[in-house]
Amino acid sequence: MDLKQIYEAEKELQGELCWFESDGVLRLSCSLAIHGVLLEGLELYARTNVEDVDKDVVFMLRTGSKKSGYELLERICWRPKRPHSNKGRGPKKHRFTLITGGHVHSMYLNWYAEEGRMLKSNLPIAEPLDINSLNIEEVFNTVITRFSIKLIGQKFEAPPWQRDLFDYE
Amino acid sequence: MSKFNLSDEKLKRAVDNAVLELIRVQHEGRYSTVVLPIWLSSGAAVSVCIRAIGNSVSISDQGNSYLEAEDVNAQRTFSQIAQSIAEKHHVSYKDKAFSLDKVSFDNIAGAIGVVAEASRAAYDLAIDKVSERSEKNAKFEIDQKLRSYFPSHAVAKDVSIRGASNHEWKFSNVVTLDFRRKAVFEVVSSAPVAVYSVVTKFTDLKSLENSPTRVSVLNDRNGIGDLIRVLQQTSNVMDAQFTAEEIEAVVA
Repeated sequence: MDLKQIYEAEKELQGELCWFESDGVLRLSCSLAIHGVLLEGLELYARTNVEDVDKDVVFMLRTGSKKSGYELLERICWRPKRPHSNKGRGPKKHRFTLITGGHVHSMYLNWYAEEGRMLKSNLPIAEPLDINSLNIEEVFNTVITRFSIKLIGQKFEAPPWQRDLFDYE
Repeated sequence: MSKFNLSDEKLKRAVDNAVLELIRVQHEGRYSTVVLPIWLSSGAAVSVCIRAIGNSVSISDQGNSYLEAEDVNAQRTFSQIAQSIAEKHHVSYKDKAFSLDKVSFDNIAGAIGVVAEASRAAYDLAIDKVSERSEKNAKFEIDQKLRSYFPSHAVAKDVSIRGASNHEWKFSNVVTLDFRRKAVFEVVSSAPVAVYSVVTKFTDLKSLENSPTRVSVLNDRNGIGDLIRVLQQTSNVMDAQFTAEEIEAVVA
């Protein structure tokens, strides 16, 4: 299976959806199966900073391993703190765009068909995705739909951000 | 008398707006964040966080570049190079972040620029090194494999050979089969430009009077597509996962 086929295949989420913290970063990492087979390294991965309450969550569909390195297939950024620039890359309409809101580094924009691989540099081309007005649970649903991931009874919960008293209403 | 020109005014406004869009500042109580028009090769903008500590400030990239490198498992390479990047930019690298402490209020602008530039340089270099390493790994693996099939003294790597044009070319490996017969191996990635380069080299060797056996070793057979037929014009072609039978067949 090449990377494009993996991206397009229906995937089932395995195990529980649990956030864990390391070095001040909250992470979510769940294995994915295609036709009941767990593909080595294929996972739904997400990260956000402990203190960035209700913002800056990055969801990724990636494959590979710690040893060989990860290959990202698609990345979705919700309420990012930093804007993204496509520089002069990609189809004309996406070149030099500065994206300040939610966006997706889509598989198809970053697929180098001639060589059957993703573009280097961590999916450098993105396009806006209208998700900033959604809450984190709604964003998660958008993410799994885009990544063709089916849940098998798991329930998604918001990251356990460290809210201080002022964050509560 | 000055003449009012509408397009001049429009341009001025557009440029002013563009500049405002390029640099963003956010003040959040005890600290401020500045997003700069400096971009990682991934396209993410570099931001730095500024905190006041007494009569000076501390400026940090908060480990954002490290985190981006981690997404593609380039964090080890990032950590290895970060210290030298920090030294080059006269900033500190600690706890995965580039920073500058005790910056006077008058020097904030310059310090922001240097921390941001170190952050970008480390990310871009780490990503370049990781890509480069995968190509080097492929060459190393082929070299090891050839040495498992042939006596080690018969296998030479990174060998220069002059072609019929008298130009000197460098090849991944040369195996000397007996005292006179040689087989030249070249690892080929699936990038079209890599294919063209190998074909040029092998064409020049093919025109030699006692032309050596030429073998293109494919790193990624699926990715190369119909360019494989271009390679076949000047060389034998085999996969990097070649077997003993295959190697015997191509050098026979």
